[in-house]
Amino acid sequence: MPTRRLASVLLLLCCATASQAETLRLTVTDSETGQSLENAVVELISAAAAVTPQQAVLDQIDKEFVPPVTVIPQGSRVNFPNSDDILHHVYSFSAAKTFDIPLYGQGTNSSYEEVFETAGVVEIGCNIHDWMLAYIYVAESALAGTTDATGMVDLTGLTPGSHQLKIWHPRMPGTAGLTQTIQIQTGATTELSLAVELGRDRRIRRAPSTTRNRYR
Amino acid sequence: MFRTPGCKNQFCSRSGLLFGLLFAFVSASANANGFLDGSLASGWEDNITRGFSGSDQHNSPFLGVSLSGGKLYQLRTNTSLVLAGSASYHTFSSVQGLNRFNLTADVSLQQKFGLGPYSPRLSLGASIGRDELKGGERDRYLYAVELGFSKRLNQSWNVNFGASRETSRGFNERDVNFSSLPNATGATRPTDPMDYYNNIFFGSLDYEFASGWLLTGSHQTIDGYIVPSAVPPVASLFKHAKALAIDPAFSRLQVLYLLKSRSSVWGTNLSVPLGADSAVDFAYSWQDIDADHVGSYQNFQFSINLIHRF
Repeated sequence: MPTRRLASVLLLLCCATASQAETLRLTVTDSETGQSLENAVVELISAAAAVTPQQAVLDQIDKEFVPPVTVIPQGSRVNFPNSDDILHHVYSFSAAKTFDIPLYGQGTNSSYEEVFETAGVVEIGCNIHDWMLAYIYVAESALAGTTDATGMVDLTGLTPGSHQLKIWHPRMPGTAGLTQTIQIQTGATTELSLAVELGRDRRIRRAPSTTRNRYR
Repeated sequence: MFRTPGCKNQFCSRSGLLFGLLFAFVSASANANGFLDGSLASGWEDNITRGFSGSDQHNSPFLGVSLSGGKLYQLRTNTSLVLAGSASYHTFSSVQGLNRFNLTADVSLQQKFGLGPYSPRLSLGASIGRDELKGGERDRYLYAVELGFSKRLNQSWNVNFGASRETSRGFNERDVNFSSLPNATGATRPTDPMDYYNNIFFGSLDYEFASGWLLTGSHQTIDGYIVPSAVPPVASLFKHAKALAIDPAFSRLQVLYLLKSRSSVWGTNLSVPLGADSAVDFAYSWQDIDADHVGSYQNFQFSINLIHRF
């Protein structure tokens, strides 16, 4: 797995407490500002954890995808309802999943699903509203989650020992993210802090302008 | 180019019918994406009369309000039709005779060549606008067709260029007593200076900052006509004017002249988002007009625009 940009990463093993066994508590921050980073995907590669496909929903509300980042295991199905009273056109060019759901309105396509078999990051867009952008992270492991508003995520049910930890965020360059080997403590919560270097947001501006007064 | 008064009534009737049909179509269809934008503008313009000499040039602060809305119909995956209408009012504090109310309806066919924001786009549009000004002589219909191309080059840069043709048709022509005008002896010009056309070539380049601020540089070349206003006697203007009229925007005697010209308009705009659907724009434009056989003049304009998409 790619390990570039590791020099910019500060990975600290802070402490191991006895409060909860086989749990990883990871806090992710922006290396430049120090602020907590929401919607960072954390995946622990573990052959021991069986992958069970799930069903997820990526909705469209007020011309935005909700949620902006979805994490699913390989083989999962995703439904793309439209809760707006206007038309949307969902598509992806990503190598992990290419698809196109042409124009549909509110209440339609409620039973339509796409299956995501290949692990990787899938970038989702709307062909009518260029600013709409969402990501589906297809995990090869069952042990994955996203950070909350405080930049924290807990992964539970881990086996002690050495594991590969993958971190990805929409503002990190590329789709590979970072990979790091970590040790999960026996009978304790392993707490880690990670500061990652971010690029600019890939999202295009939504706000109107006098020079872009056409609807697009 | 110059029509007879008899054509005007038909012109008005046809335009009214088109306005009515367009708005009826826009409001009747539900299977489309609707939009409604409002804007408030405040600014300053240094030559609102388009005068050549200093004594004929008037500057003024202005205020403007505009509301536009319409619907986007997705005809096919990458083909859309936009029907829109707008109403605006523009008022100058120092010369109220130039206060303008405008209604415009436009239709635009847009073709994307591929999915996503980086696909090139081609648009073909047509519009009908109606200007009404205090005093009436500048009242007109403005018909325009436009062919445009745009392409987002990367996350930051977006390019846009195209061409349009505007046809202006005055509808409030008044008789001119040429004998009352100094230096106008023997003048037999048409008396509606709002009858003209412009061929316009335009281009712009946007730079979008990571913060969402949008900086735009633009240029237009306009080959057509201008309508300056001046206090007579101006012999050269009388000689080369394609049409003449008394300018009712001023209490003193001023004359409107229609002159063949070429113009160059440079503009820059900084748009700062105020939220997901709002922005404040700071715009500056500089216009250099060269009228055949008469001379040239400049016009500068600065404005602050508050825009909201409802």
